[in-house]
Amino acid sequence: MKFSILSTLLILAIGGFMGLVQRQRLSSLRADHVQLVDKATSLGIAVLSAEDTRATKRQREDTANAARVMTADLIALAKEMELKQQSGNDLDEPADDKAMDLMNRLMLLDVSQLKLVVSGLRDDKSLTEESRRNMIGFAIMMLGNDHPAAALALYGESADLLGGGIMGQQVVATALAAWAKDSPLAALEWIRANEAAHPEVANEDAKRTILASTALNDPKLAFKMLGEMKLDDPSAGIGALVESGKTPEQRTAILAALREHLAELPDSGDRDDILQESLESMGRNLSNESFDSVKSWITASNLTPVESARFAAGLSYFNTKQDTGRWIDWMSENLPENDAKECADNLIGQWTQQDYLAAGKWLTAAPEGPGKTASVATYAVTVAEYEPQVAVQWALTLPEGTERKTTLESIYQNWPKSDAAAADEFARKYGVDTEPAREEP
Amino acid sequence: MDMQRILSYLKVSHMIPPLLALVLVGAWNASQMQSISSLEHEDDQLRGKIATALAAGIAGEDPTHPKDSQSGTKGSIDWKRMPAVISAVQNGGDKSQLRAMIDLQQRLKNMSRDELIAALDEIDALGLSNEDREELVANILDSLIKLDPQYALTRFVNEIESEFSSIGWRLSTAFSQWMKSDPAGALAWFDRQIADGKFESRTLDGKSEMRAKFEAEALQTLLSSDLAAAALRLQSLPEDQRREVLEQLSFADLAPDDRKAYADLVRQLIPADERAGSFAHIAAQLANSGGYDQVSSFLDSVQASPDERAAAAKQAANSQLERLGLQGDVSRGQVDSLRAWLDKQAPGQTDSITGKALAEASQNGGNFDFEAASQLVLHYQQSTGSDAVLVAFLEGYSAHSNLEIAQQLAGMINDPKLRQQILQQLK
Repeated sequence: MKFSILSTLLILAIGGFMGLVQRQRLSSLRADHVQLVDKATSLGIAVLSAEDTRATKRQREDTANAARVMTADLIALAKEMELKQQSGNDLDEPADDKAMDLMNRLMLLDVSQLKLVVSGLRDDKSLTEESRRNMIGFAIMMLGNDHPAAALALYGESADLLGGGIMGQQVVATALAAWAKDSPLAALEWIRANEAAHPEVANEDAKRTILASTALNDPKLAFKMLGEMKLDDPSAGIGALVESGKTPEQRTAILAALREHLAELPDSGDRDDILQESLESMGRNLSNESFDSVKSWITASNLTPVESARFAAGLSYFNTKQDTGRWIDWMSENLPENDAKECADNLIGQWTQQDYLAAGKWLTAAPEGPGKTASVATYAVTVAEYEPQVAVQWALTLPEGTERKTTLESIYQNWPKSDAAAADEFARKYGVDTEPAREEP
Repeated sequence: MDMQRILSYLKVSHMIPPLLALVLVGAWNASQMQSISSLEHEDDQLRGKIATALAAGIAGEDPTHPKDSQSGTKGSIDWKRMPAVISAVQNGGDKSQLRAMIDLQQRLKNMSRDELIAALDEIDALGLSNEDREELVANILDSLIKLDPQYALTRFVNEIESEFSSIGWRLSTAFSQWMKSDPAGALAWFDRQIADGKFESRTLDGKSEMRAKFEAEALQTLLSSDLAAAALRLQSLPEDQRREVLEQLSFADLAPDDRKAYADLVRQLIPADERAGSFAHIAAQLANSGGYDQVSSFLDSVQASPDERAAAAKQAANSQLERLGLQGDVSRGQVDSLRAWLDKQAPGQTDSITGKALAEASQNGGNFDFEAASQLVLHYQQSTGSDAVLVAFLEGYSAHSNLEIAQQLAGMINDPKLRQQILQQLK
């Protein structure tokens, strides 16, 4: 009996002490929590305490009420937009402010609230179908980033309305892109599971979205998935995967995965095709990056001359911009001769169309090389339609030979039709063949 | 009860108090631990939400960014960080970035003219790349233009023709606003800049996209206030640039009288071989904003010729079916409505226009694909007994992208000569 009393007291003492320590910790946490709730509330964040949910029905109702208010506000805005559209007016500033405010508030709702919003919008038949589609799509997209699986489930419930139109595709793409960043295989599984029920969105576009997102974190897995997907249009799949690399670091990771992937392919034809598609896409995708930065990346990546040529083939004036001349010089120095000519030809043609004075100025000072030769010929042929005499002067700077001859012939073909006499005079003077080249049958 | 059972019972009864104590303190501690765990989890989530709301230091009140006493707006904007936020949003960024972007827009709207100009000065001094600077300037310009369009134009006049930049397009809005309040002053400024070479074309064809855009903004106002001046401006442009200028106007925003004036300018000043294209352009805009009825009303109001009507009808049909196809599907009822309208606007061409429009609508990447379009085409071929709709459908570009189905469809053309001709084209 004595033992019983002693042990009881001991348990109560130890357990009581532990309980008191926990109680202090809990008090401190509650004080922190109150401060956090105040801060969140001041920022307009709806706060529903899990600790409180067990006890407070009122707060659950508050959550539902917040969703109802949001639904009503969205419907009011949609109606306002419908009226504006009917009268042919754009949204005015107050309506624009309301839209921004609503977007802000939508982002703060949790999953259960967004579900209520979507359901409320679906049930409101006072809106046009288009308005409901847009508002529901918009609400689901807010969910897509943080809760992609829930967003896709909501899409399924509203697929009759969202369908395969742009809004439906956008909703699914947003959710899949977010999901695939963390769980690419789960996202892919969603497509497989929905191919039959929702072919309008569970399709190749969706697979490309997954490839692009997966490549951001795990390009190696993305290439593996690309091989397993057996896409009808593999080039577009490669493009999506590679173009997700927007920074030099992302490109480096994708390039490493690409090389690893190519090394595992048994067929050399497949290897060449994928290498070409990938590097061209990389070049095509350059945006807002200076020549110096890209050149450093090429050097650091140890691109072979063939790889460099593939990369350069994707470049256009719209991403080389004010560095176009420097790119053509680089091509002359670093690419195999035929590739340098071909790539320079593309660039100088676009540059001449858009800014012929700058292109001409660069050409005057450009160092001799395959890039310059190709550039002179293309420049001359391009300007011939507007400035034939200038074109002739440039063509005559080419060394005698086939290239000069074909350039002169092209100038004749492009000569302004309003000045046929001058064209004929030019043809006579330089012995230009005036018969257009016939295509072989 | 024997002795042994009594002793055993006594031993068990000794255990009850400590066991009860154990259960009691255990339950108390477990309950507190659950509350602690739950609160910790909840606080983590709250901290995340708050961090999101405070993203980029511009949403909400951040202690490091005290309230601006002048404007009453929340702390200063970290312009150096904004290009990354904008770029992330453009590439489908997360919620925090989207919130930061929305917050930026809201704050720019509330800034005064002087605050916006100070922001521009601050950005110029940051040494950002051209692209980053332009991105920020473009965002600020939208607000500044509403407050002082003339200042915006004067400050950025040298960037109107900047390639790969949206600044010129935004400044055209400033010019439009200035035209509405002071057309004489705005036009005098515009003509001065043209004379100073600020709208000089760099392209080989001699066209300046920005010059065309600004001329269009001038015409948009002049059409209602001074038609003769509008005609004079258009006439002073090279013939091959006039249609492009007129097409930059927002036709749907013109008042009925101005629409007539516009049609007169098309008939008087656009080269004959381009006029049908101008009417088609008008029809596309009206069909998108007000459906077929608006197109009909316009054509009636300007007493359109049969050729003008046909050109407008073709384009309206293409635009409408393309829009429906992009939204999801094109129903037979919708095509029936179109055909009833075409019967009035382009008699004798209903089938060919329908076939071509269905072909165009099926190649825009929406849910309405070539196969779905084929079903409709076959329906109209059977119901009219004419091959015209099927032939026009197969003459479209989309047939070449769907060669196998297209060849099967070509086999269904009733007229053997036409069938042979289309099959030949589809080889």
